[in-house]
Amino acid sequence: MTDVVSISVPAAPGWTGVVELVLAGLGARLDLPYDRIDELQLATTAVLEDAVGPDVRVDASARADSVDIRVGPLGAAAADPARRRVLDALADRVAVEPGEEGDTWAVLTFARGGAR
Amino acid sequence: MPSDAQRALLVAYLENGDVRARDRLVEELMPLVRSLANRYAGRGEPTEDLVQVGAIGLVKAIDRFELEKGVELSTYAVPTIVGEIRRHFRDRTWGVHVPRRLKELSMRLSRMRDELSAELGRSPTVAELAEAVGVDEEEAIDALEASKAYAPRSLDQPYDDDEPARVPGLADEERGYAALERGSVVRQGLDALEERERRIVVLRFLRGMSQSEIAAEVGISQMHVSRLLRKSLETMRGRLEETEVTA
Repeated sequence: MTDVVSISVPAAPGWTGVVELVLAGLGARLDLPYDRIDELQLATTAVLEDAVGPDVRVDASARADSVDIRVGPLGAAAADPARRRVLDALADRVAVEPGEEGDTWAVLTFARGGAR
Repeated sequence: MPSDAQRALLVAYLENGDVRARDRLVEELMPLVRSLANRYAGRGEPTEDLVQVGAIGLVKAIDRFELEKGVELSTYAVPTIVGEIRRHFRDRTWGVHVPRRLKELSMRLSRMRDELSAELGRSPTVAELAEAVGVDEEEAIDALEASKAYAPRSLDQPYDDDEPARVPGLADEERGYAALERGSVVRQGLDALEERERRIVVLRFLRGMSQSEIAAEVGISQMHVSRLLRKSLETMRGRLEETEVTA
């Protein structure tokens, strides 16, 4: 079974704290170690900065052994290798994929264990 | 201590370089430092930290004291000690208004996070942290998130303005950093960081160390590592965006 939490916020810097709070609640609910929650937030907020707005959606899917965070729509910068390098260090898997409307989405996968 | 005795110690230190005389002066004037630090107690910073910061101010005052001015050392030292304590507050401020209850809880959680990490050999969960400090999980999350509004003092800031900032143990990380291609975007981002922040970014993103491992290696709390990583990524992103605009 997959539990999904979705939030849509304006694509503006002041709203990242709201997303972080939701992710902290989700992480606590899943009993993730706190540094794992912290890195999940860090990676997600890094991706949020590539949002092209006016709104950005974050879908967090909790599976038995991992959490997927899907963020979009994003600009082309989301696929930039330098930015991917940082995300690769935080998440277990990073994928940038096309959305249904020809836009770009990032999917970050975090194993439900300790920090990497 | 009588002024004559103080003056003799000042002469011994300032004119003859007798460091033991300076240490004696520091020892004698520590009650003054404690008294000044106590005036600033209860404002969210541990009193012992304020005493230590005040002691740095005292040492600066002794170093800069001019024997010919004819004033008492204690009179001369007070503004420097208070200035150092105030600077400590200025450099460690909360970016947004956070209720005192949350600030205090945040500090307790930060300490507990380090204690439990050492005890468990892994980062604690929110439930474990909340139970350890006796609050519910929602309160713990509130406080942990509030702590992100806290701006830590720059770790590179030298204690003495005359001394260059040095970070022990940086050489190994510098070698990893130097291996990055000169002119690469990652290196340009790292160039925008202060020395200590760069070290933490290199340990985390190039060496793959966890926040707990970095905290142990650098000798700061995990919470501090987390804040510095956030700040560093923001700085690096700013530099990369500037590069893109000018490219």
